[in-house]
Amino acid sequence: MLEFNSMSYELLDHTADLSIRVTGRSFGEFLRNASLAMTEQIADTDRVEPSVKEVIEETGETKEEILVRLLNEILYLHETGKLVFKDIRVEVSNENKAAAELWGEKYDFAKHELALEIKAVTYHGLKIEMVNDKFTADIVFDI
Amino acid sequence: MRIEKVHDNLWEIPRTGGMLVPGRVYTSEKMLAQIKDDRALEQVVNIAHLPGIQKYSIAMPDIHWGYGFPIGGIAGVDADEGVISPGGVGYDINCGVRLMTTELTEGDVRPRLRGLVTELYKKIPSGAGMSGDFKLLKDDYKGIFNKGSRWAVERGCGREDDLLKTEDSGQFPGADPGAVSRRAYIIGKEQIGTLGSGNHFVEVDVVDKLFSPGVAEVFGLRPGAVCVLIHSGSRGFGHQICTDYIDTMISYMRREGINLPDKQLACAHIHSSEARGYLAAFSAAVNYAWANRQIIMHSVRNAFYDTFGITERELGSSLVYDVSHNIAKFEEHKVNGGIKRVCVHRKGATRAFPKGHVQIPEVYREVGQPVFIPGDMCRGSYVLVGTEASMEETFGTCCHGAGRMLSRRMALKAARGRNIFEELNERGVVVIARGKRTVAEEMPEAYKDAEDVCDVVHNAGIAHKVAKLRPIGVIKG
Repeated sequence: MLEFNSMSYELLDHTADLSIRVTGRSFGEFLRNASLAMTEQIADTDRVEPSVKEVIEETGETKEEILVRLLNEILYLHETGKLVFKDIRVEVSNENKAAAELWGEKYDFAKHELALEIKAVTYHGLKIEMVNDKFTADIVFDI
Repeated sequence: MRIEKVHDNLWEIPRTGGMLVPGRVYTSEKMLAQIKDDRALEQVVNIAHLPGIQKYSIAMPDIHWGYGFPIGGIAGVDADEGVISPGGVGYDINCGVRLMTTELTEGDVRPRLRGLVTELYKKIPSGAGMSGDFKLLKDDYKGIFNKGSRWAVERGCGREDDLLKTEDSGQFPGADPGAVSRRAYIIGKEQIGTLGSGNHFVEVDVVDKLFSPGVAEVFGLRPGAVCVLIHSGSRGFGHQICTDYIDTMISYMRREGINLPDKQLACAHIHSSEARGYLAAFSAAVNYAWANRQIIMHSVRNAFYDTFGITERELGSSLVYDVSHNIAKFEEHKVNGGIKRVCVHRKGATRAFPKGHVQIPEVYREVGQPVFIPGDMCRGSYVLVGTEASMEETFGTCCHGAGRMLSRRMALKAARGRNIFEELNERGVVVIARGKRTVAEEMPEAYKDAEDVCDVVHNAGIAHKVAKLRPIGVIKG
């Protein structure tokens, strides 16, 4: 039942919402892959020019909190800055903190179709675990 | 998981482990098989762990797997000792449905139906990333937070009688601007009057069949009349408030040592400052959603005027009711032989108060509160009426929709190589949507048949069928 999209994430079946399984060799790579998995659901990133840079930093008591806060922050920038993103770099400075650099542009309906409105990133069943030496989690998004 | 039959339309999950109450699922045997396909029943069990939950963790026949609460889930929680859970309301705070009737018939509308649907689509910003015509300033927010629908009516978007026929008159008490984050203000600024995407819609219907002509008459539903269903919520403003307070509640639970099976059920005791903060911000979002649906209805009226070159006198529009299906409310209910104040979480579930209840509009007090069950763009939507049994069994609550059956991914797969717009057109339904993907994900076969869902609540007695509406036009995000 799994659809294989790329090396870093797979779309899973979820009745009402969107569920994505994300993996990464390091926590930083996992966060980057999760961010890209989400932005690729919102718009076709091939049509996005990386002309605007945004920098964000998130802290959390657990890895799950860092993940959810980071993704929600990207959604916030997307919604309020009317931005779509293409390239994302993530650096994890210590176990409670991650910083991300995002590249993208203002969306333009003549050029970009926004395929999906994601309301929020949820904690539903969220657990980041090591599977085959990779950070792995199933993330449920409310849509 | 053990699930036992109580009667043909009700099943019980006995208490096990940390469950504080049993689970109860209103469904038929046929639909129960579908329900078991996803993880919704597991979520019914999780809800039964909420501190202060009373009687049962309840699910309606449109139940499906959500996040935290199942969609179609109800929890009545002790208003003093219990908790409030933002996830039990959902991100789309006060998402709901309103139904407006007109004096027009299908014969009047059909010749210019595509023009009408196009006009609706032009006037109501729909889909991801769309901004509304209002850019909210500080004073507007103050008005929306305190007045809800009334704010929209004072801005010229509607009439006084619309307010009389909205749940709580479209004006929810207790909003505090200080409890709302700066981020919510920024997101909400340009989204009032927008429909959103996903399952939100405006649907033009014809009153197709009456099950209870007497009640239908009180609701103003005449056979053959054209009416309009509107489904939307508090947009990004509500989503942000839920996001903000789930974070707050996770810290609270850590501090207080509350453990629940799913972190998305994050909650705080009702008298804590965290819960008070949430309720104050949530109330602002409830009012934002009512103002939003009021503005959308105003645009619907304008679309009719412009398409048919008529005035209100000829349109003869009237709001039947506006009811929320994502909300938490403090209400009095029968618990263990006495009356208890409970906080009723309705997550994809509709209040369904019976006749005589003081909280329903006076015009409906002889029959009961209208309940709307939107269908799947094709097979029909339903109007029901609340009953006394809902007060006895379900904290005065009934179902809210057909309920999804296929995942969005499975629906996209099923739609591959097909033109869903054309298929619906051939069945007499004109659909216009911003995203092709949305319509594929929302295709009729992705949903249960609303009739099956309505039959369960009707046969269980927690609401009664009043009328069936047949869709002829839909706009979606």
